[in-house]
Amino acid sequence: MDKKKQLETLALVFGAAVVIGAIWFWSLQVGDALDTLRLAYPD
Amino acid sequence: MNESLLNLARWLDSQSWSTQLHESYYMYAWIESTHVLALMVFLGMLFVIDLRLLGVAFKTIPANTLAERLDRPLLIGFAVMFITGFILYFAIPVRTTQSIWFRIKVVLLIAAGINALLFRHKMKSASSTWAQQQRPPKSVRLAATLSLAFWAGVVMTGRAIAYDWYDCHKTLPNIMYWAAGCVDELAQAQ
Amino acid sequence: MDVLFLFEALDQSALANISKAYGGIFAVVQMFHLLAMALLGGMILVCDLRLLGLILTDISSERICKDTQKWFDAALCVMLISGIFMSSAVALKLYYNAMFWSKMSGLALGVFFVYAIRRPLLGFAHSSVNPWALKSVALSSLIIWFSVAASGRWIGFS
Repeated sequence: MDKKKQLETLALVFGAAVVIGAIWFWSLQVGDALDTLRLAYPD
Repeated sequence: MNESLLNLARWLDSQSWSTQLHESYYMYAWIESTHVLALMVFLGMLFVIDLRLLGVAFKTIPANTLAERLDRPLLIGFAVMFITGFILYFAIPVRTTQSIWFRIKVVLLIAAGINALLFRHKMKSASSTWAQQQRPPKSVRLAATLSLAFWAGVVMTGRAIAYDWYDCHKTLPNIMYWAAGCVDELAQAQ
Repeated sequence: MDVLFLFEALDQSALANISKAYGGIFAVVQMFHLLAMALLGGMILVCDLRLLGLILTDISSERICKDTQKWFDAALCVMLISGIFMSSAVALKLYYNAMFWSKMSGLALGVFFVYAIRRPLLGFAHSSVNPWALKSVALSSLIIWFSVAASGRWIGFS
């Protein structure tokens, strides 16, 4: 595989990982926030 | 003038929305974070345009093309900043009204706005012969420099609002009480 | 590898003596951190939005992206230097802060991504590169840098 093809593949795989990682990370943050709110406002 | 501003601020403070925002666990934090992040969009686009107008970046791209095309993202960014900024003011109206940094920030915002409007008008009415040049004429570079200076000032004073160095409850010279609109403290000191 | 010793060293350093003692200097450094953040944001947005075909579509993406490089590098430098200065003032608190580590992971990922993948790939003629790879690079860039910025702000709230 020449350098360009390598980089292209890397870019695609990396991109997918970033999207999945970001969705995972930020949903965790939102989840934590909602949990904290539930604790703070039990009603 | 300070009296009326303070009265307005106190009235806003008494609104339930203001209290809800201020006491909310996360609302203020999210609004403030959006305000800061929108800087990347608004000020980012502005930097690109102003750096081109200074002739130090994107030199091979016509200046008017860049300014026109980036106008939409810039204005979207500005709208987000303005709306979130207003909400932030509304959440803590009294302290913000009496913040010397906020007052300077508003003056700088107005100056930046006037500078921008004057420049837009000049760009539309005059022939854009300089748009292709790598280094625009002096008056354009001056407008860009002022723009950068004003907006840098807006960011810096904006950040300073959170610091309590010159808050009304501190012991300050009378001129500062007057400038920041610390009406009660000024009355007490006299 | 536990890096606590690094943070302890930073906490005791001459830099920390300055950053902790002079709140005014800390504030000004943070203002430059914000201004550099805006510059970095503008530079990545202009290139990424062009790569996604959303703006300036009649100008070659090579030209636009190449022009952003030195400004991005400069902005990143300012952010790193100002970031280290600010960290020295609250080094141990940061060591124990989860959001700080999230931001640092994002930052490391971002720096690796820019210099190992994005720049080299964008160095080729864009018309010869797989368009999905270009879009992937643009999207990754936007997600990473806005996430780093957001987590950075959130350190202050945690």
